[in-house]
Amino acid sequence: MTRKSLIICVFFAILALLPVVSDDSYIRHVSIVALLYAIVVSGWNVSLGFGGVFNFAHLAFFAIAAYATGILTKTYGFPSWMGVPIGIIAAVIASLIVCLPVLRLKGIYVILVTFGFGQLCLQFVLNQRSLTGGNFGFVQIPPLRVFGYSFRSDQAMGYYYLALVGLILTVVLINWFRSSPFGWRVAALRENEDYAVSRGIALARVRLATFAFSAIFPGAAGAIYAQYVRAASPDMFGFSFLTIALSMLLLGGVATVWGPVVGALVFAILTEVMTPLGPGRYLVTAVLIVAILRFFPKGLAGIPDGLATWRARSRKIDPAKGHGPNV
Amino acid sequence: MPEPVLHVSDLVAGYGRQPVLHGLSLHVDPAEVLGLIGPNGHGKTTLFRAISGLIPAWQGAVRFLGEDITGLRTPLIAERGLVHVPQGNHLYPDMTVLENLHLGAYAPRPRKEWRNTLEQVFALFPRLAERKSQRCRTLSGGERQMVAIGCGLMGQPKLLILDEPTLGLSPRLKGELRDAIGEIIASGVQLIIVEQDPEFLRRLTTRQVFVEEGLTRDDFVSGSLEHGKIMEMYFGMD
Amino acid sequence: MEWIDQIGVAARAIFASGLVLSSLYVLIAAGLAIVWNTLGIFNFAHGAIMVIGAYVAWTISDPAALGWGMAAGVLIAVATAAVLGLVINRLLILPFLSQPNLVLITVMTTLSGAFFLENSALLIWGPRIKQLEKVVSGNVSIAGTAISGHEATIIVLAPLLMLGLWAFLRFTWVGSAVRAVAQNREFAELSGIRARAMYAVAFAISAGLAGFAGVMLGAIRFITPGLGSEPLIKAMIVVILGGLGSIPGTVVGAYLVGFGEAASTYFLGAYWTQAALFLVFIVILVIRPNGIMGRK
Repeated sequence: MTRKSLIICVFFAILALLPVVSDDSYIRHVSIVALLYAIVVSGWNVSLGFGGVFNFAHLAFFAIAAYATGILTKTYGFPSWMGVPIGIIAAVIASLIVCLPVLRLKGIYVILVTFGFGQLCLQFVLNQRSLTGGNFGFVQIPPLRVFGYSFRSDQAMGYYYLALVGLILTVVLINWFRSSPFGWRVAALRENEDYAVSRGIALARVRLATFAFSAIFPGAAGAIYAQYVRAASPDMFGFSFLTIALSMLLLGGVATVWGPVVGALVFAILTEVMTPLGPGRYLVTAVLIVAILRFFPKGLAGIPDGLATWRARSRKIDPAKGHGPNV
Repeated sequence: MPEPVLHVSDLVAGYGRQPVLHGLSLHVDPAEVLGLIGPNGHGKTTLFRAISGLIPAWQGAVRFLGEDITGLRTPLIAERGLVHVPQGNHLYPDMTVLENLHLGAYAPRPRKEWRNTLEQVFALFPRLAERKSQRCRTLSGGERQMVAIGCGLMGQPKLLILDEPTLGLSPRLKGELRDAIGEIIASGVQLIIVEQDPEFLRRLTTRQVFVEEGLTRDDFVSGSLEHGKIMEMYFGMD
Repeated sequence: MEWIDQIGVAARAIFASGLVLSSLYVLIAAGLAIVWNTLGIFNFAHGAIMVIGAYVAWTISDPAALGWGMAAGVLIAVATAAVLGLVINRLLILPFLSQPNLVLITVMTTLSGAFFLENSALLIWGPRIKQLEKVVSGNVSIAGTAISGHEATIIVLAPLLMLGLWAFLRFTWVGSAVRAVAQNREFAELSGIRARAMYAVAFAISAGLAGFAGVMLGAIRFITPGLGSEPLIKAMIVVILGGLGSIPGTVVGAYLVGFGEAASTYFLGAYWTQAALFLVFIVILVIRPNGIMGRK
């Protein structure tokens, strides 16, 4: 067993044992939300990090999944165990719809279209008050219940493990994705689109697949979230969610499997520590994003690398000293 | 001995981590017109970009009119009268010829007299006067080069750097432009010019310098640049 | 002939409210366009600058706060906004200027800037809704529809400000230099134009316009930290419609969106209008990314 896989096992073992150690409902709530965030952000990392497509509709997939799960299980009486599949299907369909216009666009236009898509969904949710609850959100979503077991029992123990299993599956899937031929194609398109296309990579097909794949994760997380807090709200399409998810991704490090996971968990803890600051914690969040972009563009994941270079540099006297660009 | 107008000493500069200039030294004395020659990709353009502050000098110093200008920002260097006309058609494509020339005189000193200078530029390049309200995007390559040189002159340079102004032009246009450059020199503007035609350099410049692999080779006394030797230097270095 | 009258009523109502909306969008979108034009970035904090402008004007002018009068309120709000623009430029844009993916990074930094400003507004001014006094009191009749003097002021001032902006960019040394930097930064610097100073000028003008728009909006709608987000998104549509960065295109786009929104609100209702606008926005982006007036 390598050292890395040992660390990973310990990491998940700690997470798995957490409910045994503490059944404090507040800690439970925070950790469930953190796990769900980790899933969402890992998915975003697929399109944004590995794919290099600036998809600002990712959090809208999460919201759409939450609404779809809520509406189908409450209004249309679908059984609650179908929540996650519903969420995934809804998010994947939404991602394919967004991806169609994105296929033809580049740069800032991708951001604007995906951003616009989120706003379009928000307007739809606000319009269709009878279906979605409008401004007030969609409430009293049936909780998850399988064979008579309520996931809410024992301080939402069921949701905790559901989210944890979700996260483990997420990591496994994305790890597979990264080293699969499909993942290589995605990375090739990011690195040099024209060259990749000229080498026979089908841009449209790969990009659609990337979007669909990345949407699975917010789809599942959105469904679990809706069933856990029993509500879906229009805020989920808003700036705040987007900014928080973005800072998690940047904090952890883009285009790494573990970056978003660590980023989401660290950030969630950070946010809780900052709770006494009230809205002031959002100011800290904003400053954090800019500081990471400015000083640690690779996020937490870049620290080991950075340390290695630093160590290597301090060990030997650089013969080319002064030859580097002194910017 | 009077201080040189421009004094470049042991300049090291390049792109990324790759140096292009390896400690290049160069000087321009008063009343001198300097011609630079040498194969492409051996650092002439890099030298000018480092002199005018577009890229940082990693090592070495640049002195202009007795003052150290190393590390100064580009606009401040331009304000002192060291005007660099870059290679290629670097203009404001969506502005008219007149607007382009007008902005050439942006620095405080030339700004006061821009109308006079403009007349001189139009006298030098009558074709620009005809095209003055045309957008630069729609000009021919030769005309754009005229605008670029015109912009440089609008800045009332104390030292003008022309980086291969005749690059990519037809022989007829080349001739036309070279005549104009001759007139500029005759009017007393000091300049450094890059050219690939030793004949032309010998006619117009007072001294020629060969730039190769980021260093200057021996200064050539005017007249000593023989065709055969140049050919050897370009192609025959095994 | 009652139906003719009805059409007349509809047309008049659409015309009046369309003019007000268009004029607001002109003010907001022009600021976005000028920054896009010079720096090649999209400032997502533009709406938040409007919010701060509105709140500052409220603090200065409202009798419950300082009560120095509306004129002082407008001036100080615009000045504060301009300074804020300079700070945003310095902290969120300039440090990243040499990065190859500048556009994408600045989307993130300006989004964080917006997040920061909106939450600061919440901290400073609290969640309680505020409203500004109208800059000009009384009513004016346009084409038989009464609108407030305040709205009439916006309608008149917006085109005048655009004219002023155009003249500045066209006829002054600094204005020309701003355009020069936008078209060829390196060549501009070689002529002695300080590109960074020009970026600052562009940002200050953009933010000043946003501050002014915020004050104007704050007297029509209620001031909340989120006041700027909906108009910002409209302004984004305007800027795209007009072809990114073109000021004349932006003006045309603003009037198109403004009247389109007014007409659609009249016939479809407020809710569907928003959705329709976004649909149009996405369709335009896909069909003509360079805008209806843009060129390839």
